[in-house]
Amino acid sequence: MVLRIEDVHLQYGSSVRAVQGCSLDVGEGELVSLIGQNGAGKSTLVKAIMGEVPVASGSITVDGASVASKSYSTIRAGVSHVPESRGIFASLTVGENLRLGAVTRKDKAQVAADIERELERFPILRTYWNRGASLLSGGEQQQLAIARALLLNPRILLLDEPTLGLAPIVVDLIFDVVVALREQGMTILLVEQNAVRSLEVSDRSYVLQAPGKVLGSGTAAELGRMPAVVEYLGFSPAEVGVTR
Amino acid sequence: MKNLNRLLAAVQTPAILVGLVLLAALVGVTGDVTTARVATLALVSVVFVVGLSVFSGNSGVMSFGHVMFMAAGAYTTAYLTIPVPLKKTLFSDLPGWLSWLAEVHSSFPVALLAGGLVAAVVGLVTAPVVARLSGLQSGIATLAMLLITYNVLNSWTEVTRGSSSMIGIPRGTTTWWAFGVAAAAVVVAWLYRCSRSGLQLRASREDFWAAQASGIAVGRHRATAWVLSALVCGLAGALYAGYLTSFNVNGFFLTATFSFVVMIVLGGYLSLSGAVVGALAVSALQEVLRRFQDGQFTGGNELPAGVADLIVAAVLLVVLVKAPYGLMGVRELRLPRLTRRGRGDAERSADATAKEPVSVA
Repeated sequence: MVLRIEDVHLQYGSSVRAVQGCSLDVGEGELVSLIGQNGAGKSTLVKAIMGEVPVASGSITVDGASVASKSYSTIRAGVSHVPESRGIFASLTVGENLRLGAVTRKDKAQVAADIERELERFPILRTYWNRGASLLSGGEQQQLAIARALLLNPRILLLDEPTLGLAPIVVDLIFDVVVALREQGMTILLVEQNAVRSLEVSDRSYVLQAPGKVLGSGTAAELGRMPAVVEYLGFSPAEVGVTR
Repeated sequence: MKNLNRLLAAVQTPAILVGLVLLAALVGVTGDVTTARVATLALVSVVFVVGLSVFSGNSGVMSFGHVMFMAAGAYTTAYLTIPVPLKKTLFSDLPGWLSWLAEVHSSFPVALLAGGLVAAVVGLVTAPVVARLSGLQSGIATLAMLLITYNVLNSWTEVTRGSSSMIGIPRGTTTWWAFGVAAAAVVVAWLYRCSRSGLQLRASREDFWAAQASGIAVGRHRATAWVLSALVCGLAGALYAGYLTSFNVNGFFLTATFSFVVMIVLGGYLSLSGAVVGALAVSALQEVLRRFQDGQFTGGNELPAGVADLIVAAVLLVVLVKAPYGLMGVRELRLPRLTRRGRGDAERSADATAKEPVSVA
């Protein structure tokens, strides 16, 4: 397993329990999605994976090593996080944003080749190389954010609400990108509110219910056989047109 | 041809800025004595404001303490260039462990470099504070550093002559020296801005937390820029001492700080072009207003003292309201014919961003 979360409890302060006993794992080359409504604890879990929220009990490991004992940059080397806000540097150019993605890498010689690889993957970024990032559309910014995250050559890509606030046609584009990355062998944990689209593209999904409890997990068909999941989502996962 | 264009695109901004300072120098050397003085001091201001911009422009954190680096450069130059016999009279009470200071002497170019280096050492000592602080706290800390420097210079009479003037400094700074250092400062500031450290610092200016999340050691890059900017401001201090031949500790306090802050804020503190344009424009404006106040444009009818300063302050207020990020925003000066689609977009985008609050976390 690349990422393994075991019986994790997370809380803000001494009283607000955001996640209670969540377990989840993502295997090599898998596309796993984490779905659930607002306030289900998805974002807190993501923060805990990135070491931003301390783990009260339980364990989070990347390639068997606990993230609790690692510095932020070490975690990032293994888990590349595309945050919900995208985190791009608005007044810098696309090119400068990409260079910043690889800024912590030691193998400088390889960086240029990897930037070229991302420009092949996202041709629009080559077209707008000198353009200020704030002038890109939402979908283009999301591609830039993903390309920048991939420049760390991470073990696992953590996509946090990548389609939030985007137009339907751009949502399609982002899901196409996610599927293409999966086909290229990238290990991905996709955190999404858009349950239908996530179920369509994922190998497996975890349905999270507040406060951070796993209501059910498995393929769309398996989830469709769980009454509690069907009731929580308001539709049967078995009915979505799984593309995988 | 493509490579030539790319090269031109890369060097156009520093080239234009060096052209601007060359213009100021030419005005100085071809004009009368007063014009030469105004132009030379304007070039010294360019050196200082460019130095300040190395830190503030790239980090987005405003410093109110940089005049202390100018003081370090000026006092170093004074000590190294005042003739030894005069120095022995001026500093007859030097403490024993500093008595060697009365004996040292160097040429102006060496004193200029030493002034920059001593200021850089002061920068190195104060850098840990700047690396750890952000936003308002950082600005107040820089002001506290200035207060400490001023009080030490004002009170340590036997070494600094306290509130008495430093006198007898040979005239080392010419208009061409000031031009040379200003041009070098522009090039150094541009190279830093484009360097890996400069890029990372600009990213932290855009979004402090996203920069940290990308593994950028914001504090380290702030400290690097702080020391480099101290060095450049130290050179400005050395030029200042070498031009005026005498100076007083009060020249390195709040009035000077305000004057330089007006220059960098009016020009646009997030852009190197803003620093150069601001320094030249405010220098020219101050001179015009001074002449106006002295009655040179009104047939000898003098205006009350202080009117010129009031107008400068009023101009600053108007600019702050109308263009919070100064005349240049985050844009840099470029040649129009090289501004093709992509680059133009980048500028417009930068302009759009400039209208929004920039993180100074």
